[in-house]
Amino acid sequence: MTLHRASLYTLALALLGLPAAAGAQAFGLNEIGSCAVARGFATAAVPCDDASSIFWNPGALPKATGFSFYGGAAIIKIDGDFTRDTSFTTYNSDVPNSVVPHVFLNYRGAGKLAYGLGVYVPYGLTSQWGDEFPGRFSAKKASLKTIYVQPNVAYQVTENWSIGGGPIYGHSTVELIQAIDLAGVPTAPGGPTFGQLGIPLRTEFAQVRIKGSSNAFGFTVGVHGKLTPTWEMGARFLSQLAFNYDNADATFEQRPTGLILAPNNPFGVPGGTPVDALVASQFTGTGALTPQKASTKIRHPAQVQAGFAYTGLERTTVSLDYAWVGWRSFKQLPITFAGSAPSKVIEEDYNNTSSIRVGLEHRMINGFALRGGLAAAASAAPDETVTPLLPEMDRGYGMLGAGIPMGRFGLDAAYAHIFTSGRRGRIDERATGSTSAQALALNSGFYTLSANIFSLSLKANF
Amino acid sequence: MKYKVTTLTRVAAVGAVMALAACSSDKKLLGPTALAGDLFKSYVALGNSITAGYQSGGIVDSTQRQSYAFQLAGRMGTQYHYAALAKPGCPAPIINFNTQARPAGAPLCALRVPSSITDILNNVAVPGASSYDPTAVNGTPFSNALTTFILGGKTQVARALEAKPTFVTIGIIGNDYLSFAVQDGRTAALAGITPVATFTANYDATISQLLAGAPDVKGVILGNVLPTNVPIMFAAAAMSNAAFKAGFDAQAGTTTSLDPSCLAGGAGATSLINTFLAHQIRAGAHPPIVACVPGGASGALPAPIGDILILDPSEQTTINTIVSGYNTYLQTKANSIGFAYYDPNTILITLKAAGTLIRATPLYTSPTAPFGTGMSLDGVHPALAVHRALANDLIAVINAKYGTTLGLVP
Repeated sequence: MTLHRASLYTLALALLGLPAAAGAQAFGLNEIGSCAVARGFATAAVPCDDASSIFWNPGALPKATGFSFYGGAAIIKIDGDFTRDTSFTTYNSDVPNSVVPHVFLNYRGAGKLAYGLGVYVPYGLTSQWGDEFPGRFSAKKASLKTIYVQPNVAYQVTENWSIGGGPIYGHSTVELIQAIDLAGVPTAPGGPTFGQLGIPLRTEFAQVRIKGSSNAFGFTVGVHGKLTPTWEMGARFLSQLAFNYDNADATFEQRPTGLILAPNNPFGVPGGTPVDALVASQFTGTGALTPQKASTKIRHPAQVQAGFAYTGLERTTVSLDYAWVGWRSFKQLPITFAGSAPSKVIEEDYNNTSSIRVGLEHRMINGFALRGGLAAAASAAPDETVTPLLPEMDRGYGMLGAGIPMGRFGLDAAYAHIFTSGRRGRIDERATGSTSAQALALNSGFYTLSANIFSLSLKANF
Repeated sequence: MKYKVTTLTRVAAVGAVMALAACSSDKKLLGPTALAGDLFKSYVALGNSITAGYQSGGIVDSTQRQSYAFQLAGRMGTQYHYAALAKPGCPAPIINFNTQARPAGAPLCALRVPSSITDILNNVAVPGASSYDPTAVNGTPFSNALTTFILGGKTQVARALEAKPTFVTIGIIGNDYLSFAVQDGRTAALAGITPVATFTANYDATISQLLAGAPDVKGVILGNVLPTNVPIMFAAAAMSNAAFKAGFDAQAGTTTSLDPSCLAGGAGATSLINTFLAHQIRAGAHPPIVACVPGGASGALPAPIGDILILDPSEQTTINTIVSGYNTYLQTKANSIGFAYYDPNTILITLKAAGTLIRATPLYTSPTAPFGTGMSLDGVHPALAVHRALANDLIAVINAKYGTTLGLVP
């Protein structure tokens, strides 16, 4: 009885002190299972009663024996914009709706072992902007799709404790489309740039498209335990996977600038000459902007999540999780061309991040589940790295969901909304070797972001 | 440990902020705003050399920051991006009136300051631009290297519209006649002056394009300066002053002969003489004779004596008629589109009468301020003090027209 009161008190404090629970940061995705989404991703201590525990806590064993299947997808609709200080113009993002799938299969026999396989997307990103967006020189489109395949084994160590884990095979594809600014291009080797001769900044004379894929390996482990009849805990660790996209294809497309040089211009060409004619040779023959190979590297950071759950309320589970992601591993985004196109390194300097997640599930007598969650996540990007590639900002989640039992089957649905308060950011890339303060001084406008997420999953036990 | 505590605190704060954000539609401030009000959110200056900050036959970052447009933007508290030209200039301004020397080793053009290479410009004025230029996609005979250095292949109007202007000043003044009337002065050269009808059509096109792209824009149109008020020109009567003539001759490097046409009662007694006639004589490009009508009083002096660099009374009448025609149109146009009109002649006459910032006659013995402390060494383009006076005049006009309370430039 005393413990029960203490538990209630603790729970009340947790809810009052944590107005929102955590979601993904940077290019992380947590939309892995509709039940977990609805519960605010706070599922380490008491995973959802489905096979998605392979991701959320690989050390947790299924409650029922036999096969358990869980599969579905989340649809993510992102709305965002950027308002520029200099012109007060607002540019809307042009991000297509993303579909993020998940499939899990778990098997528990009569013994102490459970075997499973999970296929899910813990990291992914699509940012896309219109043709007029002045930050398109940093990123017109950035798309990262990474799928993890995870065999899993969980073992019941004692009556109350279990552990598990498994290797991870990751496959990732990346696509980056950037406009290329003529203003920064030298007019001749060692000569002044076109900008120094007057060509305006953000003169798009070309677009580069880099597309490649890579594989990487890692692992995950988890532990789950019952502390008391009403308190459970769980923790998981997902290792870092380093993807090297070594054989990517880079293609270039000339874009019309619309610039026409006046008479007596410093280029020494007749008045009326289009600037496009001056640069056309770059796209043919031995020009720098002809098709070539490229490479880049993106480390997908490690994750740690740990939480407690209280099950002392009738048919109700309340969960509180803390999650840490090692975003500091995302220091730079190098883009190296094998040909004569100029290579570059985009400085990111992300920070490790923490998030807090609160989830609630109440089961009706008929088995129908009502779920809710809140999450809050601090952004991984520092103030000087809020860019078109990923205009990162602190975000909060509000979630609702339901689980509908249908015999051996079940259907989970969830809706989540991402709230942000916006963040100042930049549209220009920082110069190589520039300081953080210099990069921060490039901030020239205000990004906003919101998202709606719909998730649907089918559960089957057999 | 400190990091973790900070991060966790921030996460908790995120939750609180999100809760507030969900209840409020207010946006955060979007960076700098115009302190003086929405009318000046985005100010753009169109024009030519004076607006650009050209001085002493050159232009460089430091002179660009003396322009009335720069000073006006400062009082508006609005952003101001301009095509800064690196030291020593493009070309470097003359540093000695007498020798016409530029800084030693100065290249023809030191190119743009890299940090000034922006997409949005708040000063799109180009030295040399005439009424033909603001909308000319392929340039005009008035185009020069600075046209590209500043506009980079676009027109003035196109670049102005990129800034989504809420307020403009349009100072396309002078070049439709100055190069013909003042820097040449020969009667035949006056044929190159833009006719009023053409000037009107050109200006109509500029205004039309501007308003098509920015229908709600407000602004001021500046009028043209009459040749009498351009400090480079001085009255022929000054040559009758012995001290002045001594200075002229010292600059010319010889004792010049003053034709009777320049004396009281002569046909050119009220002619205007270009200050740099003395330099031309020194350079051997003109005989050491100063006549004030073509051919001199006798009519026998060979051309172009008395014609080049001289505006005789009849030429002045012709030019004044044309320039007055320009200004009448500009004032009418300004009224018709709800803009203010500003005539700079009044302040120039006032300052010239005062004699300090603008001298009535050039002081040939001064290598650094021959036209007054407010004028640059070329006698056409203002220096800081006169730009300040122009800015303050414009502020008064703007406040009167739009009911604003812009403070004066100190």
